[in-house]
Amino acid sequence: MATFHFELVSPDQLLFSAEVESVVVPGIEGEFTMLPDHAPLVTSLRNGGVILVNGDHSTKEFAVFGGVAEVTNTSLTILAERTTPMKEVTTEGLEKDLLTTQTYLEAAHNEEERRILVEKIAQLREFKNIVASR
Amino acid sequence: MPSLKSLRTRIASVKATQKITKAMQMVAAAKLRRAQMAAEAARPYATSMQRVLTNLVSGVPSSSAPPLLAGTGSDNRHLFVVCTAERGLCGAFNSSIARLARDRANALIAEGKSVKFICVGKKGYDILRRLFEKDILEHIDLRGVKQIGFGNAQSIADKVIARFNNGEFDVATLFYARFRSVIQQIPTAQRIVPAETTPAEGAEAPAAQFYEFEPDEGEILNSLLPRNIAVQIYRALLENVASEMGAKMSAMDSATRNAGEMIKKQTIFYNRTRQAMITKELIEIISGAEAL
Repeated sequence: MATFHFELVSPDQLLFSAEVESVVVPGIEGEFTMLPDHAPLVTSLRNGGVILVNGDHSTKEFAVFGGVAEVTNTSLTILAERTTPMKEVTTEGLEKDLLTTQTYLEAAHNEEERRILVEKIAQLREFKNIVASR
Repeated sequence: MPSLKSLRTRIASVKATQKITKAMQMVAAAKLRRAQMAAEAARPYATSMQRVLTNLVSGVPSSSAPPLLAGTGSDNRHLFVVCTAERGLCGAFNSSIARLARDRANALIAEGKSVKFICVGKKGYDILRRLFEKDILEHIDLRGVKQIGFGNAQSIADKVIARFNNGEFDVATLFYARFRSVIQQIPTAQRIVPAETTPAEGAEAPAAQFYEFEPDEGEILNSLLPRNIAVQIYRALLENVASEMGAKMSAMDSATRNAGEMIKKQTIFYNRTRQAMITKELIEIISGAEAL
């Protein structure tokens, strides 16, 4: 099966870089699966899981917390604000993230900031439910 | 003539100093390797970010570009973010960055523009404080930070952006030393606000792509631009650490060599003095015996 190049990078490291068959990307307007020859696209990401299928049909999962994905015909680059292998994600960790975001929300200065943080909290809750239901 | 004992203590103290500089050189070498690895690991993100941004910018009409990209329309008020080391003993590293910032600032002030400073690192702060005491807005201390993380850069970027949103400056420039090699670090000034979108040196020009955007260009741009500033600062901090360690390594290397030369010279002097004393004593004994 055809493959394309996938890179997952966070500010301090390159987590994954290889040829893959498909990748599920948690886009801001819904999850989508990227296959080779996808139309060029730039999208923001929500918090969620990235599931990729290697050339040898093995899968790998990462959790990303916000960022941007850049899709070209031949490659996919995910610039994540923060990312970890899915195995290391726990509901407790997410709970902690939720709490810190909530304290930010209480200290928020303007409507715009508040709107972004409320959105972020909703995403974290949703992601927590997904992780908890596994 | 100095006594033999005082000569011996002097040699011993130079030897002790040499041991210290030697150790510092080796520590700097180890830290340099780690710093280079960190800089290496951060590079893919920075280059991808640059590429996405360049693509985005070409798709956004300049009239609707956010101020972080297009600027405020004037360049009268400048903000200098000067990144230096927390510690000395690294040759001309700190002073060369501070000198570049100072010269730029003086040139701008001569043109009737105003310059404010944010100092990252104690050494640059100490130097600039002497000249621009009242223009220094903030001094960011990274002394307690062992390994610079993205969080450090993010918090500096947040401060810069908050000041920009308050309308405190028009143009921000970042000062740091680019790491070329162990013996060469180049003090560099880089504009971060408004963002520079020309592709980085060495990177191939991006092919024109017609992207779809989710949500729209403006919103992605609004979330990416502040991030880009953090990334630039992060890269500057990492380069700076590598440069600092490189400078320290070569400074300590030459200090060790100087100490070695000094020990050699003093040992020769010590031996000569010792022999002169023995000769003198012999002459005294012989002439004493002859007198009998």
